[in-house]
Amino acid sequence: MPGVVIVGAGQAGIEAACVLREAGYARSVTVLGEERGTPYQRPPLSKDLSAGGELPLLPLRAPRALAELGVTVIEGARATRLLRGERLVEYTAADGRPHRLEYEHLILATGGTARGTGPGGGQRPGEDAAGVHRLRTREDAQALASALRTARSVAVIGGGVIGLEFASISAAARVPTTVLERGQRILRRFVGGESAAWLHGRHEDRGVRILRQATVEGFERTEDGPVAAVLLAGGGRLEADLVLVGTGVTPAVSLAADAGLECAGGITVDARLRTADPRISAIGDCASFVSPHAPAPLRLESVQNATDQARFVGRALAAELAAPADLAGRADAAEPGGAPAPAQQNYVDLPWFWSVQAGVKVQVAGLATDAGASVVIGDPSAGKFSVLRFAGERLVCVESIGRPADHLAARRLLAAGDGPTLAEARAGRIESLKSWNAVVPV
Amino acid sequence: MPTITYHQPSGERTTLEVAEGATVMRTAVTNGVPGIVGECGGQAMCATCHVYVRGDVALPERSEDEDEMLDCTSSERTDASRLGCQIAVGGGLDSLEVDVPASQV
Ligand SMILES: Cc1cc2nc3c(=O)[nH]c(=O)nc-3n(C[C@H](O)[C@H](O)[C@H](O)COP(=O)(O)OP(=O)(O)OC[C@H]3O[C@@H](n4cnc5c(N)ncnc54)[C@H](O)[C@@H]3O)c2cc1C
Ligand code: FES
Repeated sequence: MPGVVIVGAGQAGIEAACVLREAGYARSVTVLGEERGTPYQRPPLSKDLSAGGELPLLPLRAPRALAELGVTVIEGARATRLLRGERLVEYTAADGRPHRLEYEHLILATGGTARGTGPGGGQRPGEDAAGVHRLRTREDAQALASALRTARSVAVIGGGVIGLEFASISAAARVPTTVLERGQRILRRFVGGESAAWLHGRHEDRGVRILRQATVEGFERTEDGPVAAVLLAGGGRLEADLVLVGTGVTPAVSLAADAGLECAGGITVDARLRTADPRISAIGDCASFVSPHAPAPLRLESVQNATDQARFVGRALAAELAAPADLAGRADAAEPGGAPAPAQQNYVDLPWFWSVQAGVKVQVAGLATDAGASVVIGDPSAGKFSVLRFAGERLVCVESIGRPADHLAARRLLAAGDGPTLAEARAGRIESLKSWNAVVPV
Repeated sequence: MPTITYHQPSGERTTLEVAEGATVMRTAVTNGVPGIVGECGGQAMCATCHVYVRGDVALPERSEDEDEMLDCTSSERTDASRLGCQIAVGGGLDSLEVDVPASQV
């Protein structure tokens, strides 16, 4: 019997493989991973990076733990084509040879690649010059770390999470650092206006220069090739010998798209994270899904999203694909001999995020938006506060800076839908979200 | 070499020799010791590396962040609770023994 094949040995793919096993799935679990070496966590790449330093990689799971679980990871294997009718995936192994693998279910966990500065995420002329970096893989991080050792001035394109995390590091390493943000403010996809303004000030206090409404038009190279400057719309020119392009991620959808599956800003999946082909799921950075926490389909790039979606799909498949014999003796088993009841619940987990930048920890529970009212609790001048965001009267998002307990309480309250209302928050007596339950009159 | 010993709820024990400065979380994740997740990569932001430290060892005080996170662990907090990413061996502390809690998420 063919087993489950997972394309992508990243955060989502490895978690799904392990959860399938931990939930009792008995047939083979094979993960195809294009990157070589032990699958690793990406968040430390932009946090533990230091000028010239070795970057100690943190594995997602130790190879021994994967082996003990019975998960096969084929490193250096790139999936090239899906033959949905035959339930086959074709891949090129590390040695360049083509192979085929049959599946009973396929999970696409292909993540994405760093966008360029050009239209549609493509590259502008000169963007391939030496000195222009991206930050997605361990190789990227290693190259950045060694470039930072000799850099004289850094330009970061994009005031998003990864760009600002790196800017924090390069400024702390005393390399003059400028962030070029195309929009009106930084961190638009991460936090609302108040937190962004606070972080903006904090970055500037720590020596990061931030230019807003700065649109990159191209790159200037020195005679021997490396980048010399970033060229801006309106004629501006910013000298830099190290450029980090942090303009976001292009989801890796081509396998799905070539196989005729719908892709709209990501691989389209339903509320159970299935594509239109019931034997194919998509999870993590590559998936565009529907959520009770968002009005429209969305694609998220976070560890929470990757791992929670992986756990959801892994558990659902383990239950659904189990042969009746496998289920015998399991507490949650369907009637022996009868068809196992497929898990019909939807994926509803609350999105949450974190970042470390400008020397502070930023944690977000829910999806930030500038629409609706907000209430600040805590003390922004001390760098310890949370912004509570509301849709109408309902609490929908909490951004916490230096207030981890608020964040954890917010995750609980938002998931249960019983946080303070806007009126209650405005009454002004919430000191911390942790103690909120205690003060509500029932 | 310094050592870290992990005691599982099942009674199983793993002792690992590690380099100076190795944290309880990183050592566990790198070597496949079960029960320690480390989802935030060691930033004291996820509390999925919770452990109970055995004995009366001289560890640095809990930071405010660590203290707050420990209030929200999946298994019960005790006086012995620490975040595995915030404690390391080395600098005079040659061995650490920890109990791994029953759950992390
Ligand atoms: C520098 C950096 C810092 C980050 N910091 C944070 C943070 O602080 N907090 C947070 O929540 N999130 C953070 N993230 C985001 C988080 O790491 C991602 O959301 C997460 O890794 C997504 O997991 P994934 O499995 O969907 O994709 P990935 O981890 O990207 O894994 C996808 C894998 O699939 C492989 N692949 C793609 N196509 C194929 C194919 N055809 N065949 C075989 N293999 C293929 C890729 O090579 C890749 O290894 C950060 C990301 C980066 C890059
Ligand atoms: S690894 Fe996340 S708190 Fe320790």
